Amino acid sequence: MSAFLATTDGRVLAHFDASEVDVLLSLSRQFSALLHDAADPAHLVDPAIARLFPAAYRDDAAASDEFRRYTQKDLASAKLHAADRVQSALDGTAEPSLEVVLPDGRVAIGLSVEDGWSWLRHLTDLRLTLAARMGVVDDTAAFDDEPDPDVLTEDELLTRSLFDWVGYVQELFVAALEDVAGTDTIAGPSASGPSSTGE
Amino acid sequence: MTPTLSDTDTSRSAELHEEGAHASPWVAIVWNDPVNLMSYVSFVFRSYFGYSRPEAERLMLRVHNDGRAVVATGNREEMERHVEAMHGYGLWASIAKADE
Repeated sequence: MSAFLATTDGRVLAHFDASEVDVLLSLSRQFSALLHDAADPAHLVDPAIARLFPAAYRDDAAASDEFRRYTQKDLASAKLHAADRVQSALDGTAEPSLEVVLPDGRVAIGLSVEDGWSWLRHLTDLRLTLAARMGVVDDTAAFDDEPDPDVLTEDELLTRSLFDWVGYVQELFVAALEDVAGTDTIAGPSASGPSSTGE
Repeated sequence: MTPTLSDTDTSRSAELHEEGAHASPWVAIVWNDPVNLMSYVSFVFRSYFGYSRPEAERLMLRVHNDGRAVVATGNREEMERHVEAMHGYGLWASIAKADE
């Protein structure tokens, strides 16, 4: 069972069971493979790629194409970089080692706020990709109902359960990162409420 | 000058422009989608734009309830930069002229 914890020194500790690590790594590596040649305009016919790099001008295809020409390569690199960060943390190849032993003996990944944002971005990209694989891009009511085993195939049910699970992980992750980063990110002339982060 | 939106005045001016004011002719719009979590969208608005928690929540709920929200107003290059950043977060964002 995955678990997330905000530490007083400004990190998020993330614990995953071995089977959860396998699932996340598998999804993440598929995503990286998908994105490696995403800059090729031919790949925009893939609904997942189209959603990851949406039209910047809804009523102006030429302006959207130009925007893609200028931005898509960097955007794809950033998404791949986030995927790499997540993968190296999960497979234990991250340098320096992010491993933290919890009081109960379980091992967790210790993440800075910056790392945490890589995770949030990447979990979002994974969910966007899974949704597109289910044929869902802009139907805002698509996931309002529980999946119906009488209607969906086994593959579709599996994809839906992965989608829901990554969403659950992300929800917990947002809460943990907000605990760590929340007061910092709204600090500024307009910040309301206590600005102390307990230092 | 910095293009960051560091206080809530910006969102108030965004609302004015939405209603047809003059000075800044471009807007960045975030659209509702079935994937992004409400908590995440609100957190992105706070972290990236520097909006206060109540303002970020208000904009997020506008996206959720009305299908879209203007999250920034300014010149075209600034809005393109914001939209590129939103795409980096996985949000569905686009640029439009303020009067469209």
